[in-house]
Amino acid sequence: MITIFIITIFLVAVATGIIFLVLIYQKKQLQYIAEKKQLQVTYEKEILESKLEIQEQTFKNISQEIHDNIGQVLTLVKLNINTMTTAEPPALQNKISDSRNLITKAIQDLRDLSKSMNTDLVIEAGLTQAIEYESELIKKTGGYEIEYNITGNVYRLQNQQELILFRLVQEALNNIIKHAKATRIKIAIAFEPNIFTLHVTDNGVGFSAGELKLNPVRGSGLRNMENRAKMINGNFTCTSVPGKGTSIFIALPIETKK
Amino acid sequence: MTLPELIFKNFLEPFAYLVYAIIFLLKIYNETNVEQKVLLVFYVVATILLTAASVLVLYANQNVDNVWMYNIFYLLTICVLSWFFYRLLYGRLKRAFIKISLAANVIIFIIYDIILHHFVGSYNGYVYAICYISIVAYSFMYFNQLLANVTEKSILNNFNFWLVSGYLFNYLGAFIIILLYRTVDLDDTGNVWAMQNIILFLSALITLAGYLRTSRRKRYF
Repeated sequence: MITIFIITIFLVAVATGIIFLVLIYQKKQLQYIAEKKQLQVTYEKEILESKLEIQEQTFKNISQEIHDNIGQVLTLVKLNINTMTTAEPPALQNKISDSRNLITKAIQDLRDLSKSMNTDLVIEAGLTQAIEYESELIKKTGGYEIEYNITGNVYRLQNQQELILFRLVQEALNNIIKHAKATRIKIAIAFEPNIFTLHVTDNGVGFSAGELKLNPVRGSGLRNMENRAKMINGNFTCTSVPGKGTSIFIALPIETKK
Repeated sequence: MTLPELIFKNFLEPFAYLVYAIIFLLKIYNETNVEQKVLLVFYVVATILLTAASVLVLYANQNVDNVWMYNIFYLLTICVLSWFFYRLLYGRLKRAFIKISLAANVIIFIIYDIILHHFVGSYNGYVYAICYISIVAYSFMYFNQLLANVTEKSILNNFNFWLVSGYLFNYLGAFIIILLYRTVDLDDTGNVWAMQNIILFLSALITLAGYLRTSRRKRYF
């Protein structure tokens, strides 16, 4: 009986040991999975950061090229047209006048584009000014009624945060122009002591989750926006109701800088 | 026989199966699936059968034979648990092993109990031991499957992990008792069987703990 008792105790201990080993092994596996996931997140963040850096640099180069080269050439063309004599036949006079107007418009458009692409505007003038400038550009097209509200005491965010928020607003506005068929756009910024929020809403056609699946490019665009918001520790939410418009909300917790 | 002796030697075993039955009854109340229904029926049958076996020996006649009930019970156990593990495991090799193991157990039962007439009045320790070791092997295969497919969810929140841990604890822990039960002195058989009953009861408690943990988490999240 003693032998059976001892062997039984031993077997019970073995069974318990095996159960604990399974638990420990699974715990280690979970740790490994968590670490792997963390590494992947860090890697994706770094990739996104590099992409954004490259994008900003490209924007800056194009902006400079427009300002320094194409803009100058067009200005020269305009000057040449201005110096043309009035002795030209009336039909040609009209054409010259039209061309002058078109070139003036092209110069203005390129100047706007150059400013909009350049990082310096956001860094120097600040996020609120840059968004105001962007909304003015859209207002100028005459197709949209834009409401721009700022509440709270305005404070500056970190340069990278402001730049990414500005690009997110640009992306949201581009999406509205390209897909929403909206007539009204509302941009609301709230500077609260502990949180910064940004809200872009439109009264366009909206979309459903099913539509996003059918249009993967648009879906990836939203994911991209979400990833960018995550990069600056922001919380990105996009809600849309078909026929009632779309709303983009970004919340950014403020830790030290106010 | 004192009351504690009566409990530990006779009634702890059906009580442990009753605990299992209650666990599955509660589980079915929350979520129904075929495995749980079958296991509930199995544990209800086990509780009735083993209570009858205990009562029969205790009140009807001390010399009455109840071993045939255990012969039926162990055949039922290997059939039900083989089916349960067959549904739980999904590797081809693992499933083939279960089929072979079940077939071997049934063939051994037919040969030893029916053809060789050991069904009545004979404690078939080797047959029971094969049944026990088969279930231990199933448990190992389940753990292997669990560790080969680690998800982000902790296995402590998986009821089947607790259930199979209870099975491993019982069928490995009591293996030697089942195998050598008939070799011990007649005076000690009660104590040895009490030890088996305690291990079985502890395995039921492990499963109960698993049920409480997993059902509580489901309520909160």
